[in-house]
Amino acid sequence: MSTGQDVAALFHEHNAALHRYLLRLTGGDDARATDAVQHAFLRLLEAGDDVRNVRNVRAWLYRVGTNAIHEWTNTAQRREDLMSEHAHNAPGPKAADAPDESLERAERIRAVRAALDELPERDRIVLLMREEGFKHREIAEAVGTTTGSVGTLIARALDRLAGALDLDRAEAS
Amino acid sequence: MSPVAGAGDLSARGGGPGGADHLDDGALVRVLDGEASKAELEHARSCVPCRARLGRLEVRLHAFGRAVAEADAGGAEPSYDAAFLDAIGAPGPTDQPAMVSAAAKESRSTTARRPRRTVSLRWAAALAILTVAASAPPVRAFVARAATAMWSMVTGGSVESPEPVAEPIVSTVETAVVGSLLTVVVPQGMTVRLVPTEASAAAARLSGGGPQADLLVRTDGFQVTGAIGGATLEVSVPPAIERVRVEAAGRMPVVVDAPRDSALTVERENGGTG
Repeated sequence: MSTGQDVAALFHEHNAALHRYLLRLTGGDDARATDAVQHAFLRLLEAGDDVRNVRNVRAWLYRVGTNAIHEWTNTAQRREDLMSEHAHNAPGPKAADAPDESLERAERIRAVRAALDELPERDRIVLLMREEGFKHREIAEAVGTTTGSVGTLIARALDRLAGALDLDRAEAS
Repeated sequence: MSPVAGAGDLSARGGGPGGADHLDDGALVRVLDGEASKAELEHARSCVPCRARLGRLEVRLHAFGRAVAEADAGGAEPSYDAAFLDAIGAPGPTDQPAMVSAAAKESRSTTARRPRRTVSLRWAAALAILTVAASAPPVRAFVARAATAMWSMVTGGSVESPEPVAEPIVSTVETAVVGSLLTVVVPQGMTVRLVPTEASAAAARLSGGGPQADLLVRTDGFQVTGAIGGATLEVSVPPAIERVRVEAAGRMPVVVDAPRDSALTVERENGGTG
């Protein structure tokens, strides 16, 4: 499992989706997301044969990556960095976009990231892991709750996001 | 939370019409994700208010998925340290962009048209079974008559002679019936056509222009949520489809069980009928 070749294969299979998830989790902080991906795969490499006991390597990688982000976020320095970097994280306008469209798009991206950032960390993780297709049991293990409460957490997080992201627009317009 | 009588472990909340209990939001999420109990599924299948809430929740989840996917688009791809790639035995920096790009493309495209986990498949399969169980001919005939009357009240016209849609088709989507779930945004004034196809597939076509609405196509029927004011909605029911649901502008949903081979047309002002 943990030979270089196996880890390389797992990296090839999971790195892009894991990076995307962590990028969303961090509000678009590419440096932290990339660091967390590397951290997760290095932990996998270090785990050696112990990883053979891991029932679900994909969920394990997401949990390690999530925990890394959580730990880093809890340091004062990382929080300061996040504050200063956050405003610059939105991707630049695509060349083909008209200026107004680029501004609009950048504003929408900023709004999505800001709304996610406002959520309690557990709610954010639950929503984003669901978006990655994890089962409620896997999500529950990642955030330390019961499987039965995951649906409630998802619904509550959506409630909190609904206003900021206009999630009911299709119904209300 | 108090259980529905005879509903086993159903998570529900009270306060519904006539004092009936209903699924709580967490249970609705479980239904959508294919993780609900049999009792929750049965309740979701038979309770109109819960199905309406289910539709709204589904729209929210899709809107959230679209929002985060849009925020991903155009973002920089990860650039891993050469030492890290060496350590895990992955291709070096020279090969990295192509490798990551391919993986990212695969991953993103999977998200963009994700068949929403096997969830919907399981839910749809369960609902399909329940639909068959609940569709004994006398029941279906009664529902069809009621639906026809209801539809006539809404449209003020006959369900037998739909007007042809003149606008050019601008978008066509088609999906296998079993387990498919599809959302398309229908702009202001747009016409929605659901066209019968072979039994194993359902097709939806959009034309014209109009208010925002979401069209959901799935095993147990079609669901249009959002304002359809000023729009013409024409529904031709594929053989495999048992139900058509229309919800307009957050008002009272109109639920129609459409008899097979029928075609339904409705024209309504925005919010004019609740």
